[in-house]
Amino acid sequence: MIDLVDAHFYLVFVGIFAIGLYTMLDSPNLVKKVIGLNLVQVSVFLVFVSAGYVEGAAPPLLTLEHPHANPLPHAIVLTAIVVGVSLTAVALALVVKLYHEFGTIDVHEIERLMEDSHE
Amino acid sequence: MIVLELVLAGFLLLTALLVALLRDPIEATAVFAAFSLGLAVVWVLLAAPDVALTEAAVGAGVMVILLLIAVARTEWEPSTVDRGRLSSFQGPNPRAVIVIAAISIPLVYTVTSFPDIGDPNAPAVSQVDPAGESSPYHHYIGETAQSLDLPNSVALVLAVFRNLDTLGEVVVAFTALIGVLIVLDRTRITAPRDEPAVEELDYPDPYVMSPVGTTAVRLVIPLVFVFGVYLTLHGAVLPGGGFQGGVVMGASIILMALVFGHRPTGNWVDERLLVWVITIGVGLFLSIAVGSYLIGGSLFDVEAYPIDTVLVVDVLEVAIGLLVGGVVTALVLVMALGPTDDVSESAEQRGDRP
Repeated sequence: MIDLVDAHFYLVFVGIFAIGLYTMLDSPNLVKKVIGLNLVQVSVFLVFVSAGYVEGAAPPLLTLEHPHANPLPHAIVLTAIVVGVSLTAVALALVVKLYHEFGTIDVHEIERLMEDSHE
Repeated sequence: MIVLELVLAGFLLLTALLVALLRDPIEATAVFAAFSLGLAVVWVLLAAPDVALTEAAVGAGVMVILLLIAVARTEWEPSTVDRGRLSSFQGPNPRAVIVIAAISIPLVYTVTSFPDIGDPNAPAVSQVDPAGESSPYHHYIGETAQSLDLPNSVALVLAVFRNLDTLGEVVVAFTALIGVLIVLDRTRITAPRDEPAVEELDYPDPYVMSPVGTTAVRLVIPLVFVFGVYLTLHGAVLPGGGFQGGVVMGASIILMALVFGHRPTGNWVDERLLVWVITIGVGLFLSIAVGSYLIGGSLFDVEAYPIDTVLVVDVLEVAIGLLVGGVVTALVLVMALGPTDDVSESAEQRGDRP
């Protein structure tokens, strides 16, 4: 076991990951499920950037003094954030389309309506 | 410093919890914006200013606007199970809590076995790998990086060392726009002028233009746009670059759409201009990738060009900026238009529903 204070951002990752997953599982509201997906995604970024941090590090600008933070996770997270917003946009478009078809964004209602239409 | 970190960690967990428990999606979205801003501060503390800029522009800006559009385009009534409880919070669901606990406990064990955050001997940031060779970290920050004379090593990784990843990302953003257009059944980014607006059918006065809002936005937009251009062009030297600059430029147009209405803004921006901006962005990026092969280097070898590498990286940043700015603006405009269909018909169906 290591010092909890040193690893606090890793523990925050677990917390946010769990909360995001909980939102996706529990909330019947599709928009809130998308927000939960975003929370999960962001929590993973937190691990990446935390792992690239060095005690007392400067930002990865080579004009600054050593030590620098590792620029690789920063670059990955940068692209991942833009991929994330693209993903959110597609997900929300699907939600809006579902609302257009079923008149609700409640998953249980949508499931019920789909069963009704099958009968 | 450690006190600030702990306060921020608490803030993040508290806001995330509120997002999970608030029932109204608008409230959850507002708290999510606060969460993203807190996260941007965490990135600064973790010495990642590039990520912080992107998070502030995307997480707290564009993402929240997309969520708000989705909330505005839909109606949310709690299902029968939730009715009767007037609290704006949802009670915890025991089954979901058990699942989450089963996943979280192994995760806690895993992360506590990681090297300490900030440990200079951790594999991720050690200068030498266990075999005694110089590590990737050394490669990105050491002599190889110094020899290229590109001060911002995040831009260096994005544009030189891992530029194929960036190409993949560019393709994803482009594909997402096409995906949204397909899902919403639209062939155009902005509405044709003769198409009836959904808002006009539902509400008599769709946009209440506040004089405070319009005046403030008129003052702010030019500055925001110029800041976006500055971020894009200085990406090789300072924190920032095509991603951040592009999103900030797109945000200035989105701000306009928020205050003056997305239809007038869509017509003002002009779909053809937006499509050209995106196409030029992708084209410029791809031609730099293929061009180095044609002049005798390997594919996407930025150093193969006879001109200064910094200049090539700057062109790449401009290409990314154009693409990201264009895509983000187009995404918001298309989402604001919503799915194409006969609106009155679907409203009828809604009324018929028991």
